[in-house]
Amino acid sequence: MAFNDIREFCQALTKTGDLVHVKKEVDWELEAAAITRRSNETLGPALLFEKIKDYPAGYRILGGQQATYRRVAVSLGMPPEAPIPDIYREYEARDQKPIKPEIVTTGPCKENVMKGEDIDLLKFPVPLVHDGDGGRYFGTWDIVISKDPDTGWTNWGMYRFMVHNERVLTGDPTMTSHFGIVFREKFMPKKKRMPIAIVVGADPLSHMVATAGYGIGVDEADYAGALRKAPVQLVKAETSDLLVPAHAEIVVEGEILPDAVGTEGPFGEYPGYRTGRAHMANVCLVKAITYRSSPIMSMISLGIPVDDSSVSAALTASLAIKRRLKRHNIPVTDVYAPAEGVTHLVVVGVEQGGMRVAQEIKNVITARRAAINKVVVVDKDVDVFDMKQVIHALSVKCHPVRGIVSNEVAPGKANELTPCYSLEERQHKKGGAVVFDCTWPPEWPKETLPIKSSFNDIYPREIQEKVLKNWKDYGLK
Amino acid sequence: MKEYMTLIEEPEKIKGPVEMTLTIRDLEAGPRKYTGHNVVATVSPVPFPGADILRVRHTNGLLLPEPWYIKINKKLDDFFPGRPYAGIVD
Repeated sequence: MAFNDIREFCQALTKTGDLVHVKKEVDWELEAAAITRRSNETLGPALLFEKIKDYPAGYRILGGQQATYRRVAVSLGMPPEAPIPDIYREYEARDQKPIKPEIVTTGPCKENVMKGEDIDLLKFPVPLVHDGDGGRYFGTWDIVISKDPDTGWTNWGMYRFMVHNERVLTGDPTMTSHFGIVFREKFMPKKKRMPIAIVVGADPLSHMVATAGYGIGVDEADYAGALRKAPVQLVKAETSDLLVPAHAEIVVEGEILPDAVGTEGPFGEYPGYRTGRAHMANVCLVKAITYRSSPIMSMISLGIPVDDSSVSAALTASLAIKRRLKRHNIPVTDVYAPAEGVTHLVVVGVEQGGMRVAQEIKNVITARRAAINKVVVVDKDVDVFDMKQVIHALSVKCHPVRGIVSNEVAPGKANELTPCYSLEERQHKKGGAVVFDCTWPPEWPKETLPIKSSFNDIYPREIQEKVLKNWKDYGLK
Repeated sequence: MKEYMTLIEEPEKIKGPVEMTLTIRDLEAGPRKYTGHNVVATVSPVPFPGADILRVRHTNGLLLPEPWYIKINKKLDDFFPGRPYAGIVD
């Protein structure tokens, strides 16, 4: 049964031993995020901080809610010990059946409303996540909702937003993000403000779809319903016609200004480094804040893997890439972005490979933007989820000269957060992409292909069957 | 004496009091810590009369070991005129 809100999800995680309620007072300034970061790095539990310094009883912070595959499994209603491939298969199966949201007239997110002079972002325990960040971040594990005024398409994305003061945020959605595309093409030319809603503490699967790369024109809310196997309930915002999750903890309604900028960043980001610098970014004027009583701020303490981004966002990215490759008629078997690759590296399995196919895969993946810049292509007999097999294929089947093809990408397309790019490259979003072709060339005759020396491949069937049948008799488990 | 924080590009190039347009953050303890203000201010790595404390970081967040000093000359609006995404090739 789908979790209607983050509170039900927290109850489930508590039962499985995947969430600890921290009753000791913690500081919103670095401490809550540091505890979460260390818990992430030690594969520890999610944390619900129930007593925050400077803030009244009931105001809470939730860290690391989907930072392990166990917690992702629970969010999908699966057993926490479900293997990673099973989680992918389940997500993929549900993804085929979008369910339109249910529009309701009110919801728990409307329990309290701030408008006008009452607006105050710092009424909430907005965390300072890393030492040296440019400020406190309201939006880290969030859903930012915006709408194309011409087509009515509503985009859900996950973008960071920093508090400037009580009623102003600055944010950094890239120009190639769906947010950036709609804003630049539909609002800036007309010098119009773009209404947005920044949602914090929605149900866990709504946050996951916000990380997913569904195409332009596709409403992520439909896929939140798909994952939940039940429609997500949405309610109209107070100050615009945007629809927001009715059970969210906090909804910040604002407008992005077409002719203004404000200081934003830096922020320790998902590649595991703080590569960005303070810069001029989008400005959001807050028009209203609605919230549940005793609100919970969902927070991600971004950094080295694993965390919510490297697990959950990698999963959604993998499946988005698989969908896109199939739309381009590429014979893909499976796609996996390992958490350690922090969505910079992806493994693609194919029915039949070769460099032409490998390059096509790289080009499709990096067509809009090259956030993922390393693509490893393997044959179908390699389990993309098994890093032992992937590294073996990379080591022995990728020709060091013919098997590696790279190219620079156009300015504006590269990921400014990628640590290996120079300062100049990051400033202009310049970079590159590389594919490692770890497949047999299709032109090699079958009889010349090296034979894999594995139990399943280099022993006759009758020997395999005999060995498996007598396995315990040999004294083996 | 109040205390603020800011991020400055190449602070090592500033040797004495200079007037700059900055975003500063108030470091007064409490729930409003890090509230931002856009200001025109005189900043300096050496003390000068009437100045408050300024904790300076490089634009990548690295903190300079010694405090600087700041005197706010003028408070500005909450945002600056400008074009989002300017400087990125379309």
